[in-house]
Amino acid sequence: MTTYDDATLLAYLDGELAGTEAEALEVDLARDTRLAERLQAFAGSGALLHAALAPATHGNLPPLPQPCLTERPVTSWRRFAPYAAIAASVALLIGAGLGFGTGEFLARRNFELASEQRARDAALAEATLRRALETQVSGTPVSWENPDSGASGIVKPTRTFKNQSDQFCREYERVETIGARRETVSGIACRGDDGQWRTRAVFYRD
Amino acid sequence: MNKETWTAMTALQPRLRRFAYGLTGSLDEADDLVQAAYERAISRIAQWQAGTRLDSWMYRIVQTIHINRQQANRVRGAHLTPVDPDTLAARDQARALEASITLAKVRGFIGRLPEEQRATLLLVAVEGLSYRDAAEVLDLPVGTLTSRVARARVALRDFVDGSAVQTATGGGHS
Repeated sequence: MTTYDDATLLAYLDGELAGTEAEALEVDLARDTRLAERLQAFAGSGALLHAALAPATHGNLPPLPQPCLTERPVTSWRRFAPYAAIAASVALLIGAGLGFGTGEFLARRNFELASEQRARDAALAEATLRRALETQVSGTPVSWENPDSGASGIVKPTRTFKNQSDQFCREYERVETIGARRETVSGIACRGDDGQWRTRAVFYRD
Repeated sequence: MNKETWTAMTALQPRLRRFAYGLTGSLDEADDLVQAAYERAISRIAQWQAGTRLDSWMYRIVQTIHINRQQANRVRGAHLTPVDPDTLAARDQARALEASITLAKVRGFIGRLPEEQRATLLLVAVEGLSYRDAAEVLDLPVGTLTSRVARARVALRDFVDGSAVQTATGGGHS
């Protein structure tokens, strides 16, 4: 089996690895748990970095200076799509691209992107988590199962508190069994003013 | 400037603010920096070539203004005690969220990174730029950028593996 240095793993994580090289790495990732863990450590710490800077994208943004606008359209502007480009790389990182729980899925789902079942697992896990956070008292586990892939999981809110912005936040635990792999993750999600739960931090156990 | 360009430009504000937050370590300074970047972008919109990436151009403006200010501060603030990034992080923490001890620590970590690694890490790992685009923003050869990314992320991983996570799992209030 090939040995991979950190730079190669990082290039893969950042979508910088060319097709065949990435595919070879994915094959090795599937059978080498130590390698998968190394990738996960990078992805997990990257997710924390993301979360640490998230406050800058929330709340009211200060007003911007105003330009003089002209009505003359510039045709070539349509070629510019920063959202698409960034959204694509974010989607790659968060696997199913669900926009929720960005942090946690980023870690182990990146290399499973190809599989639709994995995306389905992720969607089930996210929906269950959202439902549990919204409707369950702390300590009540809610489970999900994807009969097609055999994957299953349990989500349990553990504590509730209010943050400085007066939003409800909840700590939770999730245990997932995907194939032979079992993973325990705990996290914190806060309920935004729009009613959406957003994960703020994720901690990997074991 | 036409309306579409301005719409695209304003849509970038949250991400530019996040980038600036990572660079400065404070939301107030980030807002100030972003404000200055927009002023400059508006006055120099003629220099942006339609069809090229507007976000890269804007990130570059933010980064340039930040570096210029850093240099000015170094001269002006040479006699002052350097500010501990942990203190800055702690100040933001009060305003930020929940058991964000870990997140504040991660911000402290960002603040302690060497300047050139910080911008690199933020553009690639947070803003999601490709190595090529990030290298262009920072005016670096791709090879240099790649090794900086690796150094910063190995340091981040080691930092997270070390102190931060343990503190956070024990923290929080019910």
